[in-house]
Formats: sequence, structure tokens, C-alpha cells
Amino acid sequence: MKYFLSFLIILFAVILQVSFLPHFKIYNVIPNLFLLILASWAILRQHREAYIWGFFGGLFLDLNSQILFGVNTLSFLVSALAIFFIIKNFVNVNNLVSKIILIFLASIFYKFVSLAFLILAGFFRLYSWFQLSKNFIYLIIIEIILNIILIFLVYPFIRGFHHFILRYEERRKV
Amino acid sequence: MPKFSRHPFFIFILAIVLVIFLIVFHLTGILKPIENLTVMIVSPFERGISAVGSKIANTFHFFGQVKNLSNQNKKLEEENKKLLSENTTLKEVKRENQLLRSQLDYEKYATRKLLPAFIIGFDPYNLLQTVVLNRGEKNGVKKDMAVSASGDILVGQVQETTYTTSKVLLIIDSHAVVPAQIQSTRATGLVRGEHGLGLIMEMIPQDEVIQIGDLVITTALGSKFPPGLVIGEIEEIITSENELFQKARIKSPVDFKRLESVYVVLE
Repeated sequence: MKYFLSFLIILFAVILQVSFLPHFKIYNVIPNLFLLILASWAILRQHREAYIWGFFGGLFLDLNSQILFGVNTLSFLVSALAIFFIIKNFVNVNNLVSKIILIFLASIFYKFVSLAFLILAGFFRLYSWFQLSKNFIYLIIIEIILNIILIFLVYPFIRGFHHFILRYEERRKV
Repeated sequence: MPKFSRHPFFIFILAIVLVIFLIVFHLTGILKPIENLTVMIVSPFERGISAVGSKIANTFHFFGQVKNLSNQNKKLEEENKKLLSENTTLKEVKRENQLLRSQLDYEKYATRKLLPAFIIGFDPYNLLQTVVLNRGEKNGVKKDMAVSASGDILVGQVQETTYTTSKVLLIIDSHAVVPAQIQSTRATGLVRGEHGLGLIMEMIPQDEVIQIGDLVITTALGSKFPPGLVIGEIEEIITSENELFQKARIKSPVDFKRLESVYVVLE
């Protein structure tokens, strides 16, 4: 039940990201909904589950993406690891400002990790990356702003789901 | 002490190893049946959600444009009159052309076979301009086929196909390169995307005279695209005497942000 519902949420988030959000592009940019879900889940739950979410979400996104297969999955897995590292060592996620800082860092980290994978795989040549860099910085700034705005919607929803799962787990123990 | 297999880092390493295997399986084509099945199950939901998103976005867009509607209407009416007169002349030229061709026993124009398709997904990575169509191998879609809007305006090229869907690279993406020519002068060049922001025609010889408003079309020379598809019209000439070639900014008649349905050029 827990895994089935989690799977449905991952699938729904991916469909929203590839089919719904692109209709509302702001300056040609869409927020990274799945990263927000992953970060929210990492704040509320354990490492293991966030890796599993990152793995399946990344795979679904890879199926819809034109960039090299596996880049989204690897980027989400590494980002999940980074999010845990930030939560454990730098950010106390109990207040709002901390959550905003976490999303800010996670967004930058995800973008640079995925870009590094793409350059390593030869998808973006290094010189075209330099050509891109101005556009990339503008893109990432807008994406960070959108991610920070959207976390106020995503986090309460994921928290609600987390409480539902907790109640379900307690009932099963009884 | 927890077992190593339950250690979070173990799960992370396991997932990374699994992804590497999946990448290898994907590249060798072993995963293709599973990918086809997954896409086949998910794509109807994507189409539904995309349609809902498009309707909501169009409603917002409509209310945002209400102020300009009157001006736009006037412009369109004038353009319509102009096009109507052009169309009458062209019909006459077409009839004459057909007559002359039949008299000369000239080879007939090949008519394009078009397959209508809906856009059901967009690339989640903001740096790429690609879309997913609800048509795939079972509908006769193959890699490298051109994709057009309104039948004759080039919007992209098929990059990858599954049994039921296909991924299309839009011409506004920086990876897209289209051999093109200016319709009036036949001057050739290459049209490249500008990171989703527009189109640039490069490699136009310096001795060619180009003008704002010239129509740019696809050429058959060294190209996988069918000839004669409209790419756009020249809106700005970027030329410098020190350079070997001229450049021009191209304006496509297609609003790529509001693209909902397209045609795959099958033949």
C-alpha cells in the first residue's frame, strides 16, 4: 500500500512536470517539481526512501527526456545524497528560511550535477557550455525562484502524505 | 548495529550501479520492449493532462490578450485581404504551371503525406527544446522525419521513437541545424536554434543580397528535410564586412510556446 501510493505520487509528479507545467513556462523556464518532492520527502523521511523515489522518478523523466538516458536518474540520486548531507550538517529544516536555503542549494546542485554528467558524456561540448553559460545562469536563477515559490505548495502536500503513511504504519503495528 | 545492506549509503551505491546497468541495457536496445510498454501505459494520461494544462494556459493567455484583440483583429483583416489577393494570383500561376508541366510531360510534384499528432510532453530539462508526440513506430513515424505546423512550416525533426510515441527536437534548440535557402535569391545557409529563444541563419555568402522580409525555406541540398518547408522570414540582418559570411535573425510564424498539435511529414 505504502509503496503503491508512493509509486503513484512519483508517476503523477513526473506527468505534471512533463505535460502540465510546460504550458505555464515563465521566461521559458519550468520549476523542477520532482526535485521539490524529493527534497520534501528527504526532510520528512529516511535516506533509503528518498533514493528509491529519486531512482524511479529519474527513470520516468529519462523516458520523456531527450537528454541522455540515465542523466536525470543519476542527477536525482546524487542530489538526494547532497540534500541529506546538507540537512545533516548545515541546515536545521524546522523553520521556513532553512527550507528555502535547502531548496536554493538543492536546485543549484541538481543543475550543475546534471550539466556535469552531460558534459562528461559529450552531450554538451565544453565550448558550447561557455556559450551557454550566460543563458544557463539566467535559467538557473529563474528556476530557483520558481522552485522556492512552489515549495510552499509541494511541502504541505508531501507532509500530508507522510502523516497518512505514518498513521497507516502505526495501524499495521497494532 | 545495523546490517550493511540496510545502510543508506549501500542503497545509494546499489541504485547507482543499477542505473549504470540500465544505461548499458538502454544503449544496447535490450530495454526497448519495457520502455515501449511503460510509455504506452503512461502516454494516454500525459495527453489528458497536457490537454487540461493547455486549456488553462490558453484561457489565461486569452484574458491577457483581450486589450490587444481589437488591434490584432484589424491587422489580421488587412493581412487577410492581402493574402486573398495573393492567393488568387497564386491559383492562377498554379493552373498555368500545371498546364505547362503537362504539356512538357514534366515530373509531377510529390505531395507530402502528413500525419497529425498531438504534443503530450515536453523535456523536463530547461536547456533543451524537445517535445513528445502521441505518434510512434506503429503510425509509421521514423527517426529523422520532419515535423511541421499547419502542414508547411517546419518546427522540428524526430530524434527517437517508441512504439506509440516519438521525441522531436524543435528547430529553436541550440542542437538543431537545418540547411536552408532564401526563397527569392536561392542563397543557401544554415539555420540554427538559439537556446529556445529564436533562429539564426548563418553561412550566407557575403556576395548574396538579402533583405528583411525574405522567406527562408528548407533545401534538399545535403539535408534530411523535405525541400520547400517554410522556416520563417528574415527580421534582422547581422552582417560585418570583416566576416566571410553573413548572418540573419529569422522569425518563425510558429509560436513555439503555444504549440499543441503538429504534423509528421511521412513522405
